[in-house]
Amino acid sequence: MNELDPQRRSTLDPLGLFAIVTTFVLLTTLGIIFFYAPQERTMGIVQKIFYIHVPSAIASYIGFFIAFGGSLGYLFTKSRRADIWARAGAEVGVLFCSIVLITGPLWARKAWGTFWTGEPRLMLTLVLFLTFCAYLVVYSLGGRSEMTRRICAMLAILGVVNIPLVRWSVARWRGHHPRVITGEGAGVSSEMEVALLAGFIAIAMLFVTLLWLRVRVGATSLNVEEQRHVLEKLRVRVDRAHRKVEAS
Amino acid sequence: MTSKRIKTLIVATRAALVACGVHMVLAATAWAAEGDALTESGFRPASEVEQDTVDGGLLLIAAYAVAWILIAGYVFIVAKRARQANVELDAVRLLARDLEARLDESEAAK
Repeated sequence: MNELDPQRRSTLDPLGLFAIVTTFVLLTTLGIIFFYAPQERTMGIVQKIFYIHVPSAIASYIGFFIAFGGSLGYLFTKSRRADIWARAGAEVGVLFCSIVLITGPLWARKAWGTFWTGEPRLMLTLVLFLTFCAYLVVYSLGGRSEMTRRICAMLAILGVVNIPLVRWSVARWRGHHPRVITGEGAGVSSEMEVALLAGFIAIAMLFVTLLWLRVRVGATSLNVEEQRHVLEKLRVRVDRAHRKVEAS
Repeated sequence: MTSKRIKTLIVATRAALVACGVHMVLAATAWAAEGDALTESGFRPASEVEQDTVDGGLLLIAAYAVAWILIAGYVFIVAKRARQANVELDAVRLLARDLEARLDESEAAK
């Protein structure tokens, strides 16, 4: 019963320390993006959305892959821990995917002259986002039943199938979406590369912080649920013992 | 049909309705944007073409602001859940102490 130990909660929290470092890295990254990275020749200042848009997209894929792994783990082992990881991955993935779906159209308004088009990558990203939104909606409305968890696990597995399609859609269906980062590296200047790298590090740290926090909350709730179950059984035994003593 | 099945059906219907609603809102937005693009078809002289007056700086600020608002909102929600979990943990701890005391009491009485 580690979570029930009062001393455990008062000790120096590694998550708190990591969150502080993450905040510092995020602020430094914002400084690099706005004051160090140069303005792009044709798009101007709006191109700086790139430094949050691309890392957020990668973070959302990682979140959805974690949801996929956790869901597979849950379906095969029925482990509640795996389910907690799946839900945490899905939540954080949806958060970053919503950032992608908001920052992308704002950038597109200047670059393409419209917020949204029927471009394959955009539509597939929207489908991916909606699939995981459905996962979270079913999870929150479906209660804590085994059936709900199984449906959600299947949704996560189906949703992840979309990720390779999103990745290859630009080449396959010749969309307008730019391909800046390819197998040959990032097609940007060295200063822009520094800002992009900083963006990747900052978003990766933010992702780890949020996932860690969410998994911890899930684990604490599960622990409470398990302990409550054990204590409930113990209470019945104590009541019985108490009644016996009173009768004698 | 058992009440449990009916409940599951209601929950599934609710989820489907919410998903439909989200789909419709997004589809309507995409449709509206597509409609704007389509009405701009045809030929016009270069002198009549309007320059794009959208301020890139404003879009940049909006993008970063929305991103940070979303992150802050999520942190707030998870922190709220963490507080709730801790309250529940305290309640379980109190229950454990109460049971220990009662167990000691009954053992002493024996």
